[in-house]
This record gives sequence, structure tokens and C-alpha cells, in this order.
Amino acid sequence: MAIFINSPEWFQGIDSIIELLSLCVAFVIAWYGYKIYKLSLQKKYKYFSIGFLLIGISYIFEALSELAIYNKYVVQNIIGPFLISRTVIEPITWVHTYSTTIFRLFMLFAFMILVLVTLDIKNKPTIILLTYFTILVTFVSMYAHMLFYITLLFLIGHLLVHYYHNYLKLKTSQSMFVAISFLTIFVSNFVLTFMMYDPNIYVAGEGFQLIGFGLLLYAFILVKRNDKQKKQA
Amino acid sequence: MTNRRSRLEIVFDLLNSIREKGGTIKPTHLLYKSNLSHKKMMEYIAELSEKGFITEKERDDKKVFALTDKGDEYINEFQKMKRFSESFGL
Repeated sequence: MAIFINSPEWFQGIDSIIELLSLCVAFVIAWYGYKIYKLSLQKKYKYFSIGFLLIGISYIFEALSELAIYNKYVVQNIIGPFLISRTVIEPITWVHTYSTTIFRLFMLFAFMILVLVTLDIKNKPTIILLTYFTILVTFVSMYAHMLFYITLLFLIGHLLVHYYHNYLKLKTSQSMFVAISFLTIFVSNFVLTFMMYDPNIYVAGEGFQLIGFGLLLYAFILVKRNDKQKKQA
Repeated sequence: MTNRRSRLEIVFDLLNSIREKGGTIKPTHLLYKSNLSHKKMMEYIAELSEKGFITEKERDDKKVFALTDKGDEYINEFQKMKRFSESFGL
């Protein structure tokens, strides 16, 4: 199995910080979804909350895989009278493999759950079929990296269309920012599909991800603002 | 589950009716606005009073229901939850 070091050296570690910021936003949304579930006892809020919780957890594993892959150490060799030091970046293969697999599995499951909840899909055979393909794609994508992102784009694309129509229906700033944030997350994953071709593509993809989750947080803040505060603003 | 949701909405409608009337409302007006039977409405009133969302007061020797600060906060929180639910297309 090939392990790609996609990030430029200056960006190593920054990407993990972006994952941590993204997971914080995902956890905040998951917490609020769960709060609504506790009050309303409607299952859709529970599943919505689980979806965002899985996104958050998946970013923990992605950050772990990035930190593991960038493990640096200094090797010193004595050749005759000379002491030669060199920095080595070596992937810790098993940590990277397991954390990447869990990241992909959780991320695909998260968006699958969000698609099922937002599109109100309750048909059991459809859910079983989607679950099967999610697991299949996770493991096959370890050998065909693009497959993961293409599948993710397919799922986020469904959400994006849903949120776009939702915005057209509501015409509120909150629904607009939710739609824009999902558009940015979609673009982020589209860019990341091609990250093995150039390290800068990886940086751009991560940048879009940061903006996407930032916009999602802003949409949440708009939702949480009091009407009184809105009138004062 | 649907019943529970309906309950939350009914509670919101009752409290919001009181707020829209300036914080106090006559029982007959509330009955008209709530679209509930008298018996059902009194069950909700009892529950809302118990939770401290509304209180009974006298105005011009007539009984009125008044919205408390806690009830006002509940309306705000419910509106936020509704906005959240709508914005995320749920």
C-alpha cells in the first residue's frame, strides 16, 4: 500500500490544527442537535447529532494519521572521521493505515447518516445497501485514494442540493450560510481528490475545509443569536 | 414521538400567545388562540404554571395568565431550535 506525504514541509502540523478546529465545530453542532433531541425526543435530531459527532471523531483520526506520518527524527552516522546527521521523515505505517481507515469509515458514515436524515430516507433495504457500499468504499479506497473523495463528493453533493433548495425556500441568512458552508466543504473535498499531484493542492483543500467549517460555525452563531440582539444589530 | 413534538409546539403557541398580547392574556382569549379544548388547555396551563413559565394574576377583578421571565426564555430557546432545525433542513 502506498502512503503519500501530500503536505509541503511548512504546512506539516498546520493541517492537524485545521482538523482540530473542524472537529470543534462539528462537536458544537452535534451537541446542539442532541440538546434538541433531548427536548423533542425526535429521532431525526439524534441521528443528525450522531452524524456530526462522527465527523468530529473522524477528524481526530485524520489528525492522528497526519501527525503519525510526519514523525521526524535525526539519524546520525559515523563514516570514518565524520559524523553525518540527517533528518528523516518516516511514516509510521500501521498508525497511519488504521487511523486513515477509521477516518474514512467514520467520515463516509457521517455524511451517509446526514443524507438519510435530511432527505428523510427510512427505507431499510436502501440503508443496508448504503451501509454496505460505505464499508466497501472505505477498504477499497485504501488502494484507490480517489474513490473515497468521489464517494464523499457524491454524498455531500446530495446535501448541497438539499441545502440550496432549503435556502431558496427560506431565504434566511442562516440557511444561506449553511448552504455556502456545505458548498465550501464540497469544494474542499473536490480539491483534495487531486492532492497526490501537487502538495499545494493539499494546502488549498485544507484551506477550503477551514473556511467551510468556519462558515458552518458562523451559521450556528446566527441561529443562536437572540431576536432582540438581531434587532439591535 | 410526533405527540411529543406537538406538545412542544403547543407549549410554544400558548406562551407566544401570551407574549403577543403584551405579557398577559385572559383565559378566554388564550383558549381561542390555542385551538385546544378547555380541558386540554387547562392541563397545559397547570403544567406551565408548575414549571414556572406562567403565573395567574388578577386584572380588573378578572383572572389573567402572565408570562414569566422563564417562559420568555423558553420562547427564545424554542425559536432558536426552530431556526436551527429549519436552517439545517430537518
